[in-house]
Amino acid sequence: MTGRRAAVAGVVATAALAGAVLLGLTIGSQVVGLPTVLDAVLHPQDTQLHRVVTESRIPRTALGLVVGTALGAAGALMQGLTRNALADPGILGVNAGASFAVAIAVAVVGSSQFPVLMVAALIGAVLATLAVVLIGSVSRGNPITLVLAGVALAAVLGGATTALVLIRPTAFLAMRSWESGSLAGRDLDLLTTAGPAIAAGLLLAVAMTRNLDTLALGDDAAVALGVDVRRTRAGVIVAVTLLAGTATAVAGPVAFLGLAVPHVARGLVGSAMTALVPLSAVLGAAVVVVADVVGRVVISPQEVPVGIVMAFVAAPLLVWFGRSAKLPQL
Amino acid sequence: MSAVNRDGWTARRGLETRERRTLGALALLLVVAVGLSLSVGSTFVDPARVIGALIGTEDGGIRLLVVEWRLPRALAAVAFGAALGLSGLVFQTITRNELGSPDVIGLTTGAYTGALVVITSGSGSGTAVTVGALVGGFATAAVVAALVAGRGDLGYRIVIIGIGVSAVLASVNAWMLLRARLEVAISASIWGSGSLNGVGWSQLRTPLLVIGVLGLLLLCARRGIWALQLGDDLARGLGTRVTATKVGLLALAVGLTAVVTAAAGPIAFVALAAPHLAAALVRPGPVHLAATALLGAALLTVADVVGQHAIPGRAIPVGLVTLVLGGAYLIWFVLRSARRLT
Amino acid sequence: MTDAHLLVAEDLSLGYGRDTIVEMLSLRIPPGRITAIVGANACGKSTLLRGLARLLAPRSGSVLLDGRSLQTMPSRDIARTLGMLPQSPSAPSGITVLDLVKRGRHPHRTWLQAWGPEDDDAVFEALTSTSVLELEDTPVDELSGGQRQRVWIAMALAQRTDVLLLDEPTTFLDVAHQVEVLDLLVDLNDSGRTIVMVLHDLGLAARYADHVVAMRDGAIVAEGAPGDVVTEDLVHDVFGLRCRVETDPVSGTLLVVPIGRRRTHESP
Repeated sequence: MTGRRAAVAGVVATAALAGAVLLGLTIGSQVVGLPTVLDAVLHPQDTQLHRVVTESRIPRTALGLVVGTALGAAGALMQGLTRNALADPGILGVNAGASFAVAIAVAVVGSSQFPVLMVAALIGAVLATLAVVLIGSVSRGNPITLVLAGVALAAVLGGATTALVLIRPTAFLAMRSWESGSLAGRDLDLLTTAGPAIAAGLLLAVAMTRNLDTLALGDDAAVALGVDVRRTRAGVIVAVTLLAGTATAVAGPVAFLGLAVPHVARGLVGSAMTALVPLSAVLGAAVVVVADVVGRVVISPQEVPVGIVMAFVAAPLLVWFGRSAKLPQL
Repeated sequence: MSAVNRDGWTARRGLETRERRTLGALALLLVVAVGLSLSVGSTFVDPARVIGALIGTEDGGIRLLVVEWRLPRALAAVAFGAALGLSGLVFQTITRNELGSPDVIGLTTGAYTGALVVITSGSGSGTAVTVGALVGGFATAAVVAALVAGRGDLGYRIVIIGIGVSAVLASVNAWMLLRARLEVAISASIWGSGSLNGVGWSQLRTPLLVIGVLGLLLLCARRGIWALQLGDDLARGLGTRVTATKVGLLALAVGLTAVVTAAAGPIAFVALAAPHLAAALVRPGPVHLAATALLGAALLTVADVVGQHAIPGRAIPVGLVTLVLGGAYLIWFVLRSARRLT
Repeated sequence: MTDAHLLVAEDLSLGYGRDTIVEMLSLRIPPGRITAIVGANACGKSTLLRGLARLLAPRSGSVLLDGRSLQTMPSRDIARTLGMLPQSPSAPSGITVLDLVKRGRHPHRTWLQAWGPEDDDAVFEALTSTSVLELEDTPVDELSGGQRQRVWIAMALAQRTDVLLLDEPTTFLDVAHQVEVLDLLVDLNDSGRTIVMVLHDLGLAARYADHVVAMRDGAIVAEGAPGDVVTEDLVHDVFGLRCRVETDPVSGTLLVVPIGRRRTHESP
């Protein structure tokens, strides 16, 4: 895996990101020209266009970047950890835990204020991840056990969630809008809480990548090469929880991003985590922002939540992989 | 070659005592579950009177309650549970993966899509929903089949492509639910959780017939399953036409799942868990097939009883109960097998 | 006494995906004899065996069993004459030895037929000739490597085929078990069975085979009796190994003594 290939990929990804940001700021139910956008940032006035930019476009794009970065990186880490090309942060129970906690907040506690839901989602994500890890750790972190444990927990929590909301129709309404993963109506202030958490997660992720690559050679080989296997696994899991948990708390469950983006990135730079994680992060950011734009535009003036758009994007990718002559190996 | 005494030795073995006991226990469990299903309710009918109603000595209100209302539902649970369990067994064999199940290839999601289209477009008639679900399920299976066709390594590809197709359909479903009016969305969600509510004799007739026919065909095709369990190479070496057998078995499994999903909505986990649980109790072969059917039937029947009566005054759809029970069991199963490995 | 069957590859080309591994290869398997196919890793020997067993469809050319092309014969008919043991066979977990060996009867039973005395005979013979009768109720997972391999061979024997193809039957076994399995194959050959096996150990091939086929890069470099094929020049040609060929003091067959860089009296 030559450095040159990585450099080219990096350039492509950055260009894609810049393009995505551009689209995110300008395209929507109304097209806002770039000069107007700059104007709104530098000399904000109380016009409708400027408000669209400052209250909708900028927050959505900024949050989209943050969420996409987090989920892209988390997905790459998950696939490296479980040595399974089909792994997704949702498998560690992040989405299921978050949804369940939100359902409890809405149905039992009775609140549907967004900050409350966000805290609930984060708590739920962390607890669910801990549970899955605990269960999966019985076999010393065997990837298959981890995946099975996550699938099982997600099923249990999913059933409990549905049962809860069917009992309370008001809860159903609130969950319905939260469940699809959306960037709409989120305040830019969220960035002050979500930002540091995701930054911490990213730093931890980058710190873990080299060891994760060595771990891919097998536990015994990794120990022989001086890697602390348990600490590396723990570090990766904490990183994934921080990244995916926060992202889910901000935007609701966005499935398949963590699954699809690393596959594309792998096609560009290969399986080495040291290149894959950063590239997945950048590509993830670009994809989420573009998905959000598509959601705004495709049936304008109505909106399709970004979570739903993601599934439509990821699905053809998976089908393409399923049909390719060489099956994705990790 | 040593001269070994062959007195009366035969390779043909009946069931071992242990397995006879296991199958017996499973059958007993099923009978008890059905019994509960017929007795428990807003009006408790004690077992003696249940039997009376069944054989015809009771009449009037009790007979109506037991035979006309509760019995079809109980039978549905038994038949649907067995069908799902067997379907799961076939999927796991063909995908050579413990996680292989009809849920994974998007079949149940597609059935839900078909049903949602019907429900959200206004016509709420039961038959229309059933038809919608059938069309949705088969269309999905056809799409996945078309996308998989022409490539080897059937098992792995089906899972990947199935997940992809499932993702699209799940989003379409979420979208439809989002756009629908609240009451419509809620009732659609209940259908989507898998429910045996309102399954009476008239609704049961066709599914029961179809399940019977497909089950019989599966029984005839069982040797294909044993061959495939050895892997493609050995199966081919033993004279099996591997691709044709896989396609045939898959068609049967799809049929079994589709008919259940059309009648009761997507019921998760029975197809996944029943074969696993059965494998933990008995050895591979025809015994496993029987145990899977019995276990699937028992699971769904118990789940339905729990769903109806666990929370007084609130009926929980059976699909949710299987989800929670199945998931919890799988967690225990994972813990146990992981412990065995370490 | 078994019938001698003639297995012939004619201008056979085999491959996976876009790669062609074996091209225009012709081979006649001597009936009633033990043939060993040898060669370095990735030389195509497994591919050739799979092609002979009809597990892989030919790109061009054909494989003929007694003059009939395998592609035209119903798979079940082939399975009554030709048995194959792949490299790493897998059995469903929990299956007992008896149940596994019984599955070897598959080609002889249609779904109308009940289990009959001939099936019993076949299974019994298979279990006794591989000495696994006393293990019949043991789960296969609990057996040692050597025992497991014998059980797989028993399954192939239950098939009652006159031709037996084995892909690296000794690779994962320790030395004692390797010899055990190969001795068993000689027993089976005594009754006239044609045996074709891919072996990676040249010495064992020289000792146990009547006919050796040496391959390199998908083509046959030499074939014939061990004495003709296992020569110092050929070993160097096929395996890239310098060696000395001596007579084995135990069996009187050929012994391949490798010459490396170190620990040798020979000059480089």
